[in-house]
Amino acid sequence: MTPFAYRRPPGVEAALGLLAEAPDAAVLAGGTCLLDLMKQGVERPGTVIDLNFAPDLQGIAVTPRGTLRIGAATTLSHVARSSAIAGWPLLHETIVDGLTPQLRNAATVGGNVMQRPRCFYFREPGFACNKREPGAGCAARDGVHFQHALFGGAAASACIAVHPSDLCVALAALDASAEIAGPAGRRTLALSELHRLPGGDATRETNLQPGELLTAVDIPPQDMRGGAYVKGNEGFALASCAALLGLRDGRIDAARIMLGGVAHAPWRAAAAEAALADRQPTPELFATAAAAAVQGAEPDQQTAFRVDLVNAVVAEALERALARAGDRS
Amino acid sequence: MNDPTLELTLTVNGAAQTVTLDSRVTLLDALRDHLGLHGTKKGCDHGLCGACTVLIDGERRVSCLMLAETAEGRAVTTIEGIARPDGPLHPLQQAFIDHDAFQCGYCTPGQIMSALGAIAAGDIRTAADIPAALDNICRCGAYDNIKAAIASVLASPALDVAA
Repeated sequence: MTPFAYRRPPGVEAALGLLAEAPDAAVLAGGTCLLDLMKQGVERPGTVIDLNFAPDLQGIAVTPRGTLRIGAATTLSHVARSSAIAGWPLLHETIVDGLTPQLRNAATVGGNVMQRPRCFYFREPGFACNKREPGAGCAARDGVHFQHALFGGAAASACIAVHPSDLCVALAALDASAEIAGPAGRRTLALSELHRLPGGDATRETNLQPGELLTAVDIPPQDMRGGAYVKGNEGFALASCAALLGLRDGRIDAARIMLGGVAHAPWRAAAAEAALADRQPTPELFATAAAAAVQGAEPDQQTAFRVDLVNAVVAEALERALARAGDRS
Repeated sequence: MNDPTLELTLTVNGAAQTVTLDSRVTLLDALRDHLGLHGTKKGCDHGLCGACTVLIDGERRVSCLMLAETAEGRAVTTIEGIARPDGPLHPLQQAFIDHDAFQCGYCTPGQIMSALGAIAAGDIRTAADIPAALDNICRCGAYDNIKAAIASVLASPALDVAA
């Protein structure tokens, strides 16, 4: 690691002040992403701002309007154990599926949302990487990339790494939003707008501006009950699916299908959702939806097997979501 | 000033100690290189193997991905802190011996601390819970005996560790 000054702000305003003072500062929450990248020499902040001593970044509660608000520095194990998430069962499944118990005790909601990709070429400074150094090239394209992007314009993009978070897939399916604080004040951004596709500029995974801090994640009350998260493998997702279904009088009247591990951001399977609209749920219908979910994929010889994996996790997630949806009529 | 040196008070196994450290030192390296506590092992140094597991306020965490300064003000418990000060091994340590639950022994402190954290958190109520709850790697493959050792203490009343 390169040397850094350590700062311990007592709250969000102090943290913002430190970010404004030191443009090369990094914020530290659980450390499960940042410290790893610092050990690899990928992140080299001159100042590390430790967010673990700021009470206003902690906590989980349901607001009077029924929104679940989680402070960005709240650990994932705390969320998973909290009775407050009873109305959002998808969260527990996603958290427990996503990390080892030790990491759940360290990793935070904010850190999980802001985490950086697992691409080994990104994480090894000796390799060419457009994310670390724009224009340097992408060593993954000519190298081992079986776990890289299937969607999001991968063929023409500066970066083919995928967003590795399980939780973000569920948060996007649940229509979560991010509370952000910065020099210009506070703003709210839908989670689906927080993460970005790289296009020609792979340097950032999110639309957070310099000097801004993610302070909380809000999840609205849900119309669709239950939901399921299915991952096709152990560890970081090669393909995963968060699915929510709404049933009324035996027909699907609402559906949300998000894919994980397949793009630079959580990926909405809109064609699969459309295939379910106003239909009676059957295995054949779910197979049609799963096939629709892989439309637009750009596989190559290394990634081709993952198309089948996407198909499989979507079909299974829909079956499980159906079993938990109940009928709202 | 960007002075990377910090003076910290770390509370480890009930004892508060003041150390002067570079801000880059992880809790794992602080324990091993600055506090003389070598029981916590460095396996992968990237948070994946669990060999460096310690308890922070009773919750298990990998110490390789924690800066020493983040542990200030919290109770750190290592493998050295779980036996009774007056001698006998902790029941889980004894169970690991009785059930031949280690070969090279390198993952063992992490396995024990992880198991104790899991039991305290209510993640292991029966033997069937152990595989999902544990997630520590054993390269020698002593998993069956590790599970047997942990299962054998689940009924024991004396599992609390000294903070």
